[in-house]
Amino acid sequence: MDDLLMKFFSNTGYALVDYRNLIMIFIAFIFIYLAIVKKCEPLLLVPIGFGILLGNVPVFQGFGLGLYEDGSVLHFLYFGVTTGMYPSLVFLGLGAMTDFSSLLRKPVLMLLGAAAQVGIFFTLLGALFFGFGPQEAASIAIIGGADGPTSIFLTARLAPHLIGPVAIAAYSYMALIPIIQPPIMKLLTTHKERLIRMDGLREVSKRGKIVFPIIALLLCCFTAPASLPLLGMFFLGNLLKESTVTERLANTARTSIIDIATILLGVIVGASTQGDKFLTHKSLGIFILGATAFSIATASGIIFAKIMNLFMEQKINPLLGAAGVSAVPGSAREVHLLAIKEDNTNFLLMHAIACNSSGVIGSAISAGVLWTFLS
Amino acid sequence: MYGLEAISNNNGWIISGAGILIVFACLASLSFAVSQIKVIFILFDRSNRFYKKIKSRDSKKKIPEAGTAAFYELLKSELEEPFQLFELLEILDKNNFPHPYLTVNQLRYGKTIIPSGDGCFIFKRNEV
Repeated sequence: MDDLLMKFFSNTGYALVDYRNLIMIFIAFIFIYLAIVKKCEPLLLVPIGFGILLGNVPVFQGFGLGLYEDGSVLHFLYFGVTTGMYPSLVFLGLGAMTDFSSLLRKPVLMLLGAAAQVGIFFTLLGALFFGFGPQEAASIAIIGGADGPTSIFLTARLAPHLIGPVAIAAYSYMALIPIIQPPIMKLLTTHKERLIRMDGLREVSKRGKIVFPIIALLLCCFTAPASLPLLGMFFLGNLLKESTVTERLANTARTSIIDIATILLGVIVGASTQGDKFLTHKSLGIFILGATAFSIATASGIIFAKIMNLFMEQKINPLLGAAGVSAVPGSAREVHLLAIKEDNTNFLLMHAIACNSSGVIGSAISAGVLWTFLS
Repeated sequence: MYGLEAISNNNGWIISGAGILIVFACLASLSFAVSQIKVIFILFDRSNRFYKKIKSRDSKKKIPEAGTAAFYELLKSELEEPFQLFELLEILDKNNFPHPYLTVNQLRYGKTIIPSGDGCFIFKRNEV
């Protein structure tokens, strides 16, 4: 009887717990607190925070409970992360939500979405410099795209052991946009530049909106075919929306499908952050380099907008460069708010959304390029 | 391995340079294509309009305004009201009228013939 009870006790979480699990449980509390009390990206942080709790309840090995154990329910759900299924489904929903009107009205803003991706490739060099392997370096660098699903997709392909820290870093920086981006924007622009007004946006026909996802898919994926799983679903979702004859499918994509994928992605990514795997020197490096990547991406967008102004007759407000990262709509909102602060009649939101949308495309292409080079 | 040596050994410079170029090339070409969409649509619309113009010119040639009354009389004499569209088509065919389907359509849209409610048609007399 005593033996039986002792055996039971030795298999409970109280006996198996490690100090690293407790640290992670504390981090989970912070995530859940930020989401519920501070309303900070709740749709992402609640599933991730709860996933961290799930992943850090200590279980004994061999019982088929842990995320990394074959045959466990969590391992089965983890399959959607490692194969890139959840990120693709998220992109399908994103496509069905995205309105490219502002981008189609001013196509030149697409270049700012490209410029912001420079941060990814600079961070790749930085990560290699600090001793990360090439696949790991690419997975860290993609954080600069500020796109959670893209980061998870590439990391699952190149360095699956880093999914936890990379995903947490990517989503954390997305939540921290209001803290990270404004100082960089202020530092790199003058008051006069921040006052630049953007001209009106031209009209876009319905036909233009329908044709865009098809042209974009062909142009982008012929050049970088590895971005097909993300961009293919993204543009499919957008075509479902814009064609107006598949409204029911578009509605499912932008509600049920994206919600299911977000819940599963968040919980499983959270659960992959088990203390012994997450709390390492590498994770610290990933967080530092991730922040660097995000900052460089913001800065490179702004600097490129300033360079464009040297050649363009109609000047671009360089703040828009900061919206070239694909954190939709967080970075666009920050650009708009900063411009409003300088001049309360200068509305940049629609232009910033255009840069944001091209940032999503740009970061998916970057992921495809890195995957091709390093697979 | 650390430092610049690590970057060089892992082709870091090439991957970064090529990566930036590819992303820029993709989005620049997409930007150019999007800016030209309007032009393509204008060309498409023009060719459509041109095609329609030729089509309508052809049909006008075949059923000249001056001959409308004679054409109407011919149909009226040969058709018993109410009639079905296939009967009208047969008469047009029999008299070697060009583009019988187009003509039937014109008669319908011009309300020269109107539905009698049972899948048949009759002539609207006050039209002539």
